[in-house]
Amino acid sequence: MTEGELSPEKREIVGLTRKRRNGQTLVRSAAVEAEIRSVLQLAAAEILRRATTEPEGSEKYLSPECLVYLVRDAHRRNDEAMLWALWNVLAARASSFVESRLRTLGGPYDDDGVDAVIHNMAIAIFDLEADRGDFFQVSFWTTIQRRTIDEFRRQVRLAKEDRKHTSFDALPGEEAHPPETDDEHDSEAIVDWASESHNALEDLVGDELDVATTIRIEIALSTLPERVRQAFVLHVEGWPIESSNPNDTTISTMLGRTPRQVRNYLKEAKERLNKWREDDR
Amino acid sequence: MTEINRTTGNPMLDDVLDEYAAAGPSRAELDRWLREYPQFQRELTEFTIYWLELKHLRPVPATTDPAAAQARAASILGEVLHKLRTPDSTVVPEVDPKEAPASPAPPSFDSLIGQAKRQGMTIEQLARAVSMSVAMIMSLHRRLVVAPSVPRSALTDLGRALQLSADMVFDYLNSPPRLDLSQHFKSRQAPRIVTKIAFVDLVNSDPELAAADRAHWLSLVSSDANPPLT
Repeated sequence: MTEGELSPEKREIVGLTRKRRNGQTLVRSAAVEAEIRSVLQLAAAEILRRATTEPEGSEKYLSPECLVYLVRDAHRRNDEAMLWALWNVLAARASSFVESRLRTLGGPYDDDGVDAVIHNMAIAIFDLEADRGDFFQVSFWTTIQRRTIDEFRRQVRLAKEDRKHTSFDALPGEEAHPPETDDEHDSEAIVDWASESHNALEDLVGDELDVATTIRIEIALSTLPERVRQAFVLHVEGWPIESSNPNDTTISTMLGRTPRQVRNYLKEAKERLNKWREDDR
Repeated sequence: MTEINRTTGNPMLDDVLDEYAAAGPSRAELDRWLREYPQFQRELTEFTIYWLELKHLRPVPATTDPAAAQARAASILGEVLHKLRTPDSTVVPEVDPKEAPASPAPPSFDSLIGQAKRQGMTIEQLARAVSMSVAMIMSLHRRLVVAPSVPRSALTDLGRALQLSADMVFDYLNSPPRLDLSQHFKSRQAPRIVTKIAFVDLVNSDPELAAADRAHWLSLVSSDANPPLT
């Protein structure tokens, strides 16, 4: 087949059909619509060149949302050469992202996890009788992260099942957790310190971004034990430890721990992060 | 398609999580979504915790070789396209045997190398005949290459050399990988699932392939569409 034959003819963009729970149809951003419209005017060779060589940040860089449209379009037209070439680009970008996120969360099975998410993405995109892949054309990274978390949750469940057969700690009543204390003074101190941390993180995401500090805090967080880290993150995000209103979500209800245990998690976070800061100086 | 849709396994939950993710998990959003979908309290809560962890943690860089990741993704696509393009065989309409059309004849060859031998060719001769390396022929023989990624002209060349149709070669390649039975007794580990690779990666990774042949195949990969042979 010649390059000319591969050129996409001028055609209308196929609209999305996926409906939200409220009945509204998903809509691509205006920028993605314009990008697709523009790319469909190009010769196939130029599309492939842009997909494979233009770096992120370049005006000619193809967004993943646009690539999803193009691979699905190539699949619909049985344009195998275009389909495979663009899939390679899209999958390479997605694989790296998924692996990074799984490793960040501490996923035990990186390769299997990446494959599962990529498999799921391929089904969503290439099943022409369904429109589940429409989300990928609206917000690719959000959708791939959402599916990565699904996979991570699946791995956590599997790991828990494995531990049930191997760990004494997993036996009922033997779960490892910090000792319960009623040190109100210490708890108050934790809340104050956490509030300061909250302000510090708010400052970090403002205009005056201190990149080095951001990186140091992000790295420090990753050194905390899972539950301690989760309690701290939820605290930073504004959840209360507990509430008199049973309808409120709290850190305590979200983590399935008592308020006292949550306070101890936050205390541990304070101690570990302070120590980390001192060691880092 | 039992294995094909592995997300949460619950279409309604999948929809809810897709939309919740798009809304941006936060305290206010979680409260709103929990009010609307209290039956998914655990899933929405867990999802929120992990989402926010990712927001605050420094991303750990990926370490997998991009070429290896790409090869795995190509294999996944081959499998997905094969399943999507294969009519569901679980529902078989009842047909009077007398009226049933004759089934298509099964492939009259068991392997590429076996067929080459029947044609009086060695592996080396077959490789030369189709401008490939011996290693490439062995990979194709073991069905380690994603069939739809193989250029049509390669299928035609192989078919011509082996006295087969291009469709028969495609069907052969499109079957599950052949296990190397001679190696089984040497391993104490369970056999791993063999991953197929894309033709372009086979060409790029083969050190034995002559430069001219490599250029030939790469030019075909970029310009030779390979529509499914049905």
